[in-house]
This record gives sequence, structure tokens and C-alpha cells, in this order.
Amino acid sequence: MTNILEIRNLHATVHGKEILKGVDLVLPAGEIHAIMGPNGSGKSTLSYVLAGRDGYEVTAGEILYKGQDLAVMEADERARAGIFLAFQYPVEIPGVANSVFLKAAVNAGRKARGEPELDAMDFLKKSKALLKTLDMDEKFLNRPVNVGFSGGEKKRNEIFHMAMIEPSLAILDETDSGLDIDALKVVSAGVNALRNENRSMLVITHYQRLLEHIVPDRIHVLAGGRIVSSGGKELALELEQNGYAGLTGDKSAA
Amino acid sequence: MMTTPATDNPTARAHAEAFAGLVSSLPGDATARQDALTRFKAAGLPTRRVEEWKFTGLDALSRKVFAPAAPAITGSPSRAQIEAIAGVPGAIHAVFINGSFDASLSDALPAGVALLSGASVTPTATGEGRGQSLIALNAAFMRDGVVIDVADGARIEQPLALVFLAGGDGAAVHTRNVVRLGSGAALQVVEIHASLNAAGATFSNAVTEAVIGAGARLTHARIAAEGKSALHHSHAAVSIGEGGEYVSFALSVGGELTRQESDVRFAAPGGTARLYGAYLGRGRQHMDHTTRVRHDHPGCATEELFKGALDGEAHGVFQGLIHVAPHAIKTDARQRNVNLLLSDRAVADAKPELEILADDVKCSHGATVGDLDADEIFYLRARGLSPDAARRLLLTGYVEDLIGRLDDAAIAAAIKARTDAWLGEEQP
Repeated sequence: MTNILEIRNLHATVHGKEILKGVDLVLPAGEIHAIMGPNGSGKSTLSYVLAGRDGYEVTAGEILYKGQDLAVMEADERARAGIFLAFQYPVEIPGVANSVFLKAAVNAGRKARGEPELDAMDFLKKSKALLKTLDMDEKFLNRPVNVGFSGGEKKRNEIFHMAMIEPSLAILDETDSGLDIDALKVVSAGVNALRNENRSMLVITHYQRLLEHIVPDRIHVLAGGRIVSSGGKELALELEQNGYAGLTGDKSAA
Repeated sequence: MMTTPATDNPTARAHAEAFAGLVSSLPGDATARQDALTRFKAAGLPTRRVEEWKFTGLDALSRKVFAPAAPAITGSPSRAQIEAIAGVPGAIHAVFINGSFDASLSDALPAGVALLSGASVTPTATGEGRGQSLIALNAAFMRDGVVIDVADGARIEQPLALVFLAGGDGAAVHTRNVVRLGSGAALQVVEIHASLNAAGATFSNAVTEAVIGAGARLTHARIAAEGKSALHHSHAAVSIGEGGEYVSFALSVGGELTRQESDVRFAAPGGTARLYGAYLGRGRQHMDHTTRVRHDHPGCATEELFKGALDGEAHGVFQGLIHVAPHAIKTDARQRNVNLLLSDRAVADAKPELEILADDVKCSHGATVGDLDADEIFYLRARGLSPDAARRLLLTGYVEDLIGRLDDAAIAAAIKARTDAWLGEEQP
């Protein structure tokens, strides 16, 4: 089995402060791994480092995506190469229609992969079909990106973007935060529909709740800037009962 | 005196010297024109020492002589070019070349639309005040423009596109429009100021007076899109009747120096003024938008939003005064100015002013100067857009957010065509 993502001894700083202190993680093709951890453990930092955000500096270690060193790739190159970040706080872009942005994004990726660009008709057809599965109104296409969207609508819109862009590696940063149970089910169904043998996902969450709907192949616990524990999906239940306190050992052998 | 004596300025002198030979060929009352010239001479041209002009200097009128333009010049554009320049779908076009009406390039003017040259309009001192001597200069030299009377209850569906083309190095062009809307009337007017040949330096000095009747609605757009070395000054003097509405959009995309002024007065209670503006500058362009709104009656509302995007060494200026008289209770006035500096050398000056003398009012103002938002850029890049594509899309959205506030599709389209062209010219 090939690995989509290999993170080795990753150290990273944010504005000079070390947040990640030696993260090791291997994500094989087709698998979903969850990253859980207390607030301030470095979960969001890891997602931004993977996406290539300015100000997030890798000081040691390496990240290989499909065997390629990410260090030399800018944020937009990573995205065009198939890395997608579903934002914890999706950004509002006044004056830019959701469809205009998304079409540009979809076609930037297709162009980079040497695939033909989607024309307006195909884009609209595909968009409408996907919006329906996410229980979103078609009006979301014409509204400015995330402007006036409720918290749940913003998260759904992220999954809608993900479904349209069809990434190889999707990083879902606290996609469950701010969702009520109905929205959580819709969003999870949308994510599950995208599971396939060529697509890997890293699901970052604080709560076990999401993992009842998006069942991961493995769970890693990030604490103090390191993966302190890894295991199967049953680890989530254990965390739910015992909390993050006292987690230091490696249960990956289980 | 905080002004330059008119005789010390070569452009002012050239006008004074040309007056006697010219006045017989200009429409209307020669005595009123002489009075206007006298007022102009007495006031002189405004300098930066006049508070209203502290950010904008008219030095260009001293460095080069601008004299009243000859009405006819060669190299007129074709009718198809006129429609492209105007960019207002389905409009009735009235075309003025160096301030003179050109019937061959224009559409038949509908009932209620006359020419200033045929209407014997007597120049008045409307809008003249401190720092406003260019309006007096316009009153002395105005050659043509339209005089529009919309009858009570008449709603004109087709937008009127007034295309003012200037050309010839050193040409000064003075135009004036008068718009009068009866009760419940509605009209959309777009002024497009463009250059005939971009190479010559011209000076356009355009004044529009508008009187909006009770419950009437005027949409008035001004597009300043002249060539690189053009100087442009325009002034809108607007009076709003009871429950009337004035929607204005002033766009600056051309010229070396542009100043667009709006002077709005509520003549009765319950009126609404919505003033929008965009200035997109690069190179060494200077763009000034100055607004004055007087709330002299209760229950009137003003919404102002002006956005600048400045690249290169461009200099943007926004000055906005909102005056609320003691008895103008229930005034609702909001003013906002936003500036994007796209280079280290671009400059934006903002001077918002609220003079509130009444209690029980809602007033707010704010001005910001900054760069494109880093979070927004990252969001777009994280979806695969190159830094340049992300920047372009954000800039487009920045302008679109403003244009989207216009209800009139044809006018929005004309403005969008100009802003899209500006964005397309942008050097990455």
C-alpha cells in the first residue's frame, strides 16, 4: 500500500514559538485518520503547516506527500497537487460569488493535472447535484463566499468545495465545531460519500462525537506538539471516558 | 487671502483673456457670464491652503496653459466607438465633443431633454462657495450640456448616457447639465468623461445641477476615465425634495488628476441620499472624492461608501462632510471610506467629518487604510488559486461589493466594464 502522507519528526514554529515538537505520522492511501487532542495541543497548527500557511515554519523534520517533499511547495501548489484544507473558520469574501471562486479553484487543479477545465454548464450541473446531497440551496452558488452564511452553512460549504475539488488528501480542521446534530449528520454523509481507495483524509477534532459518523481507520492523539498515542477507532471511546489527561504511552501495538 | 490671484495663474489668465472674444458664441446671458468671471477672478484658484483642497493641488493648471477649447476638432470617433466608450446597455446617447453637442453621434433626444445651448440657461452661483471658484469658471465658460425636465410622475426607463469627449493638448472644456425631476419622477443618468486622443493634456470642468422633486428618484453616475495626462474636475450640486432619493456613483479610473465633488442638500424631510464612489489609481494618478451632505430637515438618511484601490505611487483622497442642523432630528447618516494600498508608495488620505448639531440622530463614520486581507488570500490560495489570481479575485470582489449596491443594472454594467478593464490592465 502506498502512503499519501508521511510526516517525520516534524518540528514547527508559529511566529517564532515552537508548537510542533517532533510529530511522526503515516497516512496510507484510502485511509481516514483522526487527530484528537486537547486545546492548544497543535492540531490546527499541524493543519496549517500541511496547507502551507505563511508564518508556520518547519524547523526540523519533513513532510512527504505522495513521496514528494512539501517544503518546496507553496500553499497554492499544494492545493493544485491535491491537498485540501477544510477550514475551522471559513473566510468570508465579500463581492466574490461562491461559484466564481469555486470554479476558479476547480479549474486551477484540473489545469495543473493536465485535465480539461470544466465549462460553465458542466460546473453548474455538478454543483447542483452535490448541493442537493449536502442539503444546501442552489442560492449558495450566487451568494458571496461565506458572507451571511450561518456557522453550519459555512461548514457545509467547505465540504461542498471539497467534493467539487476532489482532493487526494483532505484535512478537515474541526469541521464538527459549531454544528448541530442534524448538520453533523449531513456533513458526515457528505464526507463519507467521498471516501475511496485513492483519497485519504485527516480528520482533526476535539470531540469523539464526529468519529461516530466519520469512522476513522486510525486515531492519533496529539498533545504537547507530539503524537502521544495511536490506536484503532476504539481509542476515541477510551478518550471519551478517561479524557486526555495522563496520555503518554503508545497504544499503536494494540 | 488663501487663494492664488487669478491673474497669477496662466490658465486663469488664458481664460480671462479669451472671454471677450468667446462670449458672443456662448449660449445664454452674457452679463451673467461676465458676473461669473468676475466672481472667479475675485476668488482665484483654490490652493492647498484652503482647507477643502489641503490634499489636492491644482499646480498642473500653472505648469501648463489650458485655454477654452475650440468646439470642433478632427478625428471624431464612430458611433460604434461611442457605444463602447459609454458601455451603458440600451442607453439614449448624447455626445459632446470638447463641450459641444454632436448630433451625428447622438441619439434623438426624447421629450424633456433639451440642450443647454438651446435652452438659454442663465448661469447662477449654484454650488459656489469656499474653494469652489472652478464652478464660477464653469458658469462663465460653459458651452453645452443637457437640460432635462422629467414631468411629475414620469419614469424614464431608458438610461441616459452623456458622453463627454475631450481632446487637443491644452484644451479646457466646461460643460454643465441641469436635471429637474418632478414629483414621483424617475431617471437614470450616466456621465462618461473620456479622452479623444490620450496623448494630449486636457482640463475638463463639469458641473451638474440636480433638483429632485418629492418622491422622485435620480440615479446619477459619473465615470472619469480620461487619458493619462488629463485633469478632471466635476461637481454635482443636488437638492432632494420630500421623500426623494438620490443615488450616486462616482468612479475615477483615468486622468492624471481627478477631483469629483458631490454637494447634496435635503430641501425637505424624509429624503434619502446614497453616495457611492470608487477610485482605482496607479502610476502617479491623483484621485480626490469630496462630498458634502447637509441635513437641514428631519428624517433624512444618508449612506456613503467610497472605496479606493491604489497601486504604484497613486494618491487617493476622500473628504466627506456630513452636517446635521439643530432641527434635523431623526437623521440617519452613515459614512464609510475604505482604502486598499497595493504598493508601498501609494498614499491614501481620508478626512471624514461629522458636524452634528441635533439630538436624536444616528450618525457614524469610519475610514480604513490597509492591504488585501492575508486570511482571505490564504483561503483562496489553499483552494489552488495562484497569488496573482487570488489577488485579482479579491480586488474584483472589493469593487463588486460596491457596484452590487446599485439597483440599476445598466449603470452597474457600465461601471463594471470600466473597473474590469482597470483590473485587467493590472501588472502582477
